[in-house]
Amino acid sequence: MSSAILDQDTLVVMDEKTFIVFSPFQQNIARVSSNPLEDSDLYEQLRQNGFFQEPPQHIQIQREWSGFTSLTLFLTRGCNLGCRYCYAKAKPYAPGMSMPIDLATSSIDWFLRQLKKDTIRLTFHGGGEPTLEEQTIKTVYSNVESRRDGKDARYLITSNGTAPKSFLSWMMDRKFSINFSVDGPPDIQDRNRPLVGGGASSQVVEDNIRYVVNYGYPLSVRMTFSEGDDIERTLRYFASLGIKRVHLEPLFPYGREYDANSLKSAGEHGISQPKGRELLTGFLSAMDVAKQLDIKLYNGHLAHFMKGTAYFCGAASGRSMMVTHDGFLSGCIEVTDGKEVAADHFIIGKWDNQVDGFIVDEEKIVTMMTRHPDGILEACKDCFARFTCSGGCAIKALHRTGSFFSKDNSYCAFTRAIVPEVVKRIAVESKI
Amino acid sequence: MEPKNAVVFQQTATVVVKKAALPKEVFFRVNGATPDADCPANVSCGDDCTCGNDS
Repeated sequence: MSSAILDQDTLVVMDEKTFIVFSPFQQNIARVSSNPLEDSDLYEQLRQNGFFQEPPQHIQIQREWSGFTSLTLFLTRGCNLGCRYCYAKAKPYAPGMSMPIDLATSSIDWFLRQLKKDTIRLTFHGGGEPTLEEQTIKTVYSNVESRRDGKDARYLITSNGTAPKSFLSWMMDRKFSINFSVDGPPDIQDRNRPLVGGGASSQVVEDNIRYVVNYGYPLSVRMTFSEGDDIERTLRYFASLGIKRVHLEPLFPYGREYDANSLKSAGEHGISQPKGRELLTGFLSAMDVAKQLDIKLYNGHLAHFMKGTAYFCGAASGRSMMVTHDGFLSGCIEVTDGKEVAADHFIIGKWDNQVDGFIVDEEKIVTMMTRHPDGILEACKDCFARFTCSGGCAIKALHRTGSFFSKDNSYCAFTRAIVPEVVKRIAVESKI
Repeated sequence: MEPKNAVVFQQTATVVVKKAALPKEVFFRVNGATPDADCPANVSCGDDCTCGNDS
């Protein structure tokens, strides 16, 4: 057998001469001495103990679109950093490259009118640095708070960590979830994420991390892992600053300097994507260190491992409503304006002044929803990791293969390698 | 010592089934304990979105 198989909702992972049987949805685990082949007594015994059950409904392909459940505003294309790998190709901040306040508040009006859920989820995200639009954020917050009508409202912001402390305090006082994108100790941070005009960003970011942590506030950091970087050293650096949550993703070779420097191998700036098994070994090493340091690691694929998901991404399946500064609805957090090269694939609507609302291309959304292992992603249909990534990130696949309806084989290989390793670690934790 | 949530609820001659104990160093969405998969802080996007609402 391969390193793992998936039968109904249950993974079977070979571990030396034994087999670990694990149902993520039921959270049941067992170790058996022989492969539980279908129709065997062992298989039936395991089935009666809760294994090999029908997978849950929420991971099944969806055929109808039922509206947006969260809202993300891409407030500006301007930025005060010049990150080497910036997926958004953000530009130095200047007037005219940000979302008008009217569009922001109109987006909220429209979103709330169609929202069926009891929780309002609102994110301020990139395409640039959102905290540069402090006044828009404050206006939007007041607008939502005055109209939420008993509904819970949750706010999240993803920032490069350079915001003024006064604004950080304002957000913390209002219980925003705050995430800083930071790559590690000063030498790594300043290499990857310099100021837009050149120069180090590490000092201001580190200072802000200390400020938030000393406030007693939970702060997550999102780090991009580049080939050759020492994950252990980076995690120890974060731990020294009091960080408890680290979102770890590899560098993807798609961004600002992709044409000039492919980022597939170390070039002028000495950064490149991890090769081969480096990401796997790096992540496993990170798990060991995180355990010592009491840090929790996040990863876009592994996050879904226990619950499973029908779609890798809420945006590319029509659940997350993402509004660009120039009034488009984007189906991807990386497609940040209507001029992006991938816009034809991901733009799913546009603000229309005449109807005073968004025109949504529902047919396009429904087509996007066929990007599922039981739909167009036939290559994933029999994969044991299908509930974990459900085909992975669509725009990474598009960049790599030219097709929205494909997969990024590099990250696929990582996922297929790490899932059995995680099952083995769960077996150890469970003492079976 | 058994992990706190490892309860042996069925034991036969060949199979011991336990409630799985998850590594605390990795974030997993779990039914009932984490935000919906449609959270705007969708970690699945893989880009800059780390949900701060997992507890």
